[in-house]
Amino acid sequence: MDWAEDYISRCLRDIPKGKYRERLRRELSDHLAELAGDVSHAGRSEAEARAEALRQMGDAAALNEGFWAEWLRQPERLGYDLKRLFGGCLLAGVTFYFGMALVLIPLLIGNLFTLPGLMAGKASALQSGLNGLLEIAAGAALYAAAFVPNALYLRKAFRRRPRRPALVGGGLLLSWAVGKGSAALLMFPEFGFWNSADIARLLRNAELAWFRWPLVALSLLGCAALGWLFGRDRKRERTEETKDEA
Amino acid sequence: MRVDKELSKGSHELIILKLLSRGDMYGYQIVQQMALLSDRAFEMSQGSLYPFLHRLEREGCLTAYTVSESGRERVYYHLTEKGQGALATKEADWRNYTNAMQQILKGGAL
Repeated sequence: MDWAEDYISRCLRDIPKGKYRERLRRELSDHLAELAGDVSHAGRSEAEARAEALRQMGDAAALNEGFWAEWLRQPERLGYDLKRLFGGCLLAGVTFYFGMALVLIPLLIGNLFTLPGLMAGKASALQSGLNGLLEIAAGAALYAAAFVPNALYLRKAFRRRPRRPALVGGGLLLSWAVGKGSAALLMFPEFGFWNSADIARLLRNAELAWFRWPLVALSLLGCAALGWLFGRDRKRERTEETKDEA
Repeated sequence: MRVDKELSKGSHELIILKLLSRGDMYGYQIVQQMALLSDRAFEMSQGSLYPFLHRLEREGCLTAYTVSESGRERVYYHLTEKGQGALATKEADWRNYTNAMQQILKGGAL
């Protein structure tokens, strides 16, 4: 029943793949088949039965809205959100560390795979080899390379969601925190994180550039700004503006 | 017989709970029973029944189970104890509402 599949896929246009979508597909398919069968038994042609069944089922776009509103309240939504946030962390992590290990550090220090060297030199190689402005520009480029694709990914993953700027911004912040955590983990052997004095030294004296407070503050602000920029639903805003004008 | 859509919207939940209190049913069956028992007064776009059912299930008023019938997977709904309580409350509310409305429509003392 291609006509039914086509109708059902329009009804479920915004419902992400998962148990709820599968269940809706099954229920609607059963309902349509039985409805069309009953109309057909009443003496209508097959084409008339299809048309009548679709009419009685209702407008696909309106049903999509109802199913979407219900999906937002389904327990599986939490799993969906967590998977996307985790996916965003992976994406940001991969782009950030690949960007750092394969592009930024070789470019600035001229030595491929210098992360072990960075550790051995107590993370001073990067700082000593750069002046402040270049360092900020390089850091900004690295963050942009990692966070813009992540923001685009989260924007798509949380399409049509209420409070999407908060979701995108929160996802970016999570990626940033996970990135910081990973960096800290990588530095475990060298800095001995069991020792609180080492942590304090790392944070206050900023042995690694990206642990300095101004950069931390800039990163947080950047996440919030990107969240707002990529999370806004400009199409909906434009529609509302048009409505207001009308 | 037709009832104004806006008027009937608020009563769909009560109707679904009442029908399911008579026995387990699947979506199409509920719609058919609704139309039959109300002389088609409470017809709704049939697809919009499902968000209602899923909400009631999420709230614990219904449970759902799947049965294979004539090669198709069919989802049946069952009224829970909580659903029976909700039905009793809604029936009482509805009676109060209709009684009050009757009083007004009859034109009581000023």
